[in-house]
Amino acid sequence: MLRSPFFSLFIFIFLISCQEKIKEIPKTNKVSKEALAYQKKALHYLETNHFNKAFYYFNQSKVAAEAMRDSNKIVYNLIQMAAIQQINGDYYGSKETLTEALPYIKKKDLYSAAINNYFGIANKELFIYDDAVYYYKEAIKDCEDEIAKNGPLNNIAVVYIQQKKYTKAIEILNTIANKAILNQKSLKSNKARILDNLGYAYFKNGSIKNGLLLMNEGFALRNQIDDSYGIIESNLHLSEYYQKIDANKSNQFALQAYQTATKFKSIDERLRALSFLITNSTTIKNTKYAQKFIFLNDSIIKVRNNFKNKFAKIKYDSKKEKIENRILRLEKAQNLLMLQKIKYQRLLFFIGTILLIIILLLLVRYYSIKTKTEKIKASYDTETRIAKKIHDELANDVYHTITFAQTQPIESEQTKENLLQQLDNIYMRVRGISRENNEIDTGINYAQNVKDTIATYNDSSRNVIVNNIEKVNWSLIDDTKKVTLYRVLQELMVNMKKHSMASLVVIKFDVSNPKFLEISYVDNGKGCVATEIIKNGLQNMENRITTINGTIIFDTAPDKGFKVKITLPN
Amino acid sequence: MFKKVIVVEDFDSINLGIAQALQDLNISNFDHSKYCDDAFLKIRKAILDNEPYDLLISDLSFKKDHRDVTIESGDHLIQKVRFLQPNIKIIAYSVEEKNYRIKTLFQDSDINAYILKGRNSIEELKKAIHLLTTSDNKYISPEIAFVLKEKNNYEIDDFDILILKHLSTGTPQDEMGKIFKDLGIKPNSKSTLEKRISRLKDFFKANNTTHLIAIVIDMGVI
Repeated sequence: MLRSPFFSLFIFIFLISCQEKIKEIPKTNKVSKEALAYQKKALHYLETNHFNKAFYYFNQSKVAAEAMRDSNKIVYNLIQMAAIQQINGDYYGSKETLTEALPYIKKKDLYSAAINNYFGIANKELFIYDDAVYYYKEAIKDCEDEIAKNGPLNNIAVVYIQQKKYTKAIEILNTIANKAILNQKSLKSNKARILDNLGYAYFKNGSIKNGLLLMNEGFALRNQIDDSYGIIESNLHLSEYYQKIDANKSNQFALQAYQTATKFKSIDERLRALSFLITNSTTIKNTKYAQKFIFLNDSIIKVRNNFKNKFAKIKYDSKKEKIENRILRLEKAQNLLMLQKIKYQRLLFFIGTILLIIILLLLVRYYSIKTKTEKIKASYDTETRIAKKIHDELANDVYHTITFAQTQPIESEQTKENLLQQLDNIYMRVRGISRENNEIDTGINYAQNVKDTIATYNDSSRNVIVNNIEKVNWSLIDDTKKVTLYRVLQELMVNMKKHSMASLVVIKFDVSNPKFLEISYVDNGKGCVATEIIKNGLQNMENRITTINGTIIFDTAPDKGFKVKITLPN
Repeated sequence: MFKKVIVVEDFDSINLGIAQALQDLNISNFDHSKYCDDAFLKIRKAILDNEPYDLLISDLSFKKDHRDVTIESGDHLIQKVRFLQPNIKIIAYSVEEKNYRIKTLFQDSDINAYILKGRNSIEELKKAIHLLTTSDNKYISPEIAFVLKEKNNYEIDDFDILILKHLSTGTPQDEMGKIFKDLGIKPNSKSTLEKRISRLKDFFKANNTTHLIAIVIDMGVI
């Protein structure tokens, strides 16, 4: 099945050099181990001629190598794949595979040489001779030692022979053949091949004798080193040589070539041998050979097509797998991204909640401090108000009494009476202050209590008339409001008594609006200038009402009485 | 005259005054306590000894000090004593002048006298003790005597407002009874209405009905 003996040699050299290289690289990575394992398997299958499996594992190894970006390994695997494709006649496929390897080539080395050589072989087999020569030349450039150059040079010569440029071929082959290095034992097969090709070139070029001499020399050398594969080629060349001189001899060589090729399952060589046999033989034998030729030719085309398809499929599957992997990876990445997003969202939500709680706590704290401050301020105001009252109403009188006691003879009955009178006056005032600031019963007696308090302002010259106080459902009104209302009414009454000189006061409780409790105070006193309201300590009442969310409106003018409207929300 | 008296008062000076008054009345058998709890114990002991007190004179408010007390106020003590010994005479003696508190004492604890501490309170105390010895009458200081009289409040209700409204729209007094009757409003008798109107005139210091209407409109009553 092998296409040409030249490749196998090349592959052999190549394999050895590569295997050496692989050993040098320390493998720790899991992926690299995988790649190596695939490669070993592939090489094993290649040695046992299981091309499909070998191709499959080289491809796997390549995929693994791609994952770790080991360009050397990728190139090595691709070259092996290309070689397998060429062995099985898939030249277009091999060119494709080789092209795939090109981006990984960084410098001129054994790999680039191999690639160029394989390009050359593919082109040669596809009858693109000029390109083949070009690639072989490139391969030569990439080769460093002389022995390695021999392969491509020989190949160029073969191309020239195919192109019937025999002189050029002879020229090249002569230069190689004369190299002393070829006399080494290990390179004798090389020398035999070169001699054989040189002889064939001479023969084709017309130098028949010279050609026969060299071909025989090569044939002898091959027999000597038992290069069976090379012997087929020599046999074919000699068969061709004798075709026109001695048909029997030609047949003999062709038959020998056919037998050896059959042993090595080398179909191309068998076909060539058969074609000689067909040409040389008599009619009866001719038919037999022709039948065989057709059968072989058909089956090889079938097998090769089959291989082509299989290789393409392996590559395609691998690519598909790769794409699927990529899609999976993408999905995984997307999932991860989503998870991360959710995580971030959760974190954000968490932080937001905490912030909210903190803000809430701060707000609560702020307002509690504010209310506390307000309360402290309110009680402070009350304290200062009482202190002022004590100072204004009591301190003077007490001082006056002290002075009186110091200066007047207390023994005298008249003075004593006077002193007692003054002290009694002070006592009454103290009681008054106490009463004004006393605790307030906010229980069931509240309404009665308010009425009684208001009633204390009744006297012979003044009537305080109360309307509908019992209609208010006092048990539903909270204590703070009741206390505040009580104090405000008390203050209104005190002010009235002090300043208004009113003879009539009406205090009306209005419950007609379910949302509000309205209390109106009206007197027929002398009133005052509206702008002076604040001075009269009415600000204090306003403050009190505001703290329980109520409103208080004062309305007054000189000689028009005094009107107050208090609204408390229920 | 009372044989055995207990005085509950936390100020020594006042105690002295009361002691003086009692001595003036030839009452020599008297005890005093500065704490309600002590007083209550003494009263209970006296009952057990079969030598009960026949008069309790108690202040209402006591200053708080280091001692924990169960009976904090005179009101409470009086209430308990009245329950324990219903026949004892009780005089409340305090600066307290809140109407409802005084009323509560008279109504609920059935105290016999309420004396407002003042310039003349010692004299009043003597007077009260005399009164209580000779009769079952109650005594109350004149300054706060109004507390027990209900007449003191000038309260008007919706019915008064209704009358005033009708008067203001020119309804004659005579017809008002009939209108009320038609509307099903009670009371609607002529005499009741007359009484009401004259009471309103009193309240609003009006000389006549026209004056009354002028005043109530002026003051925003209707």
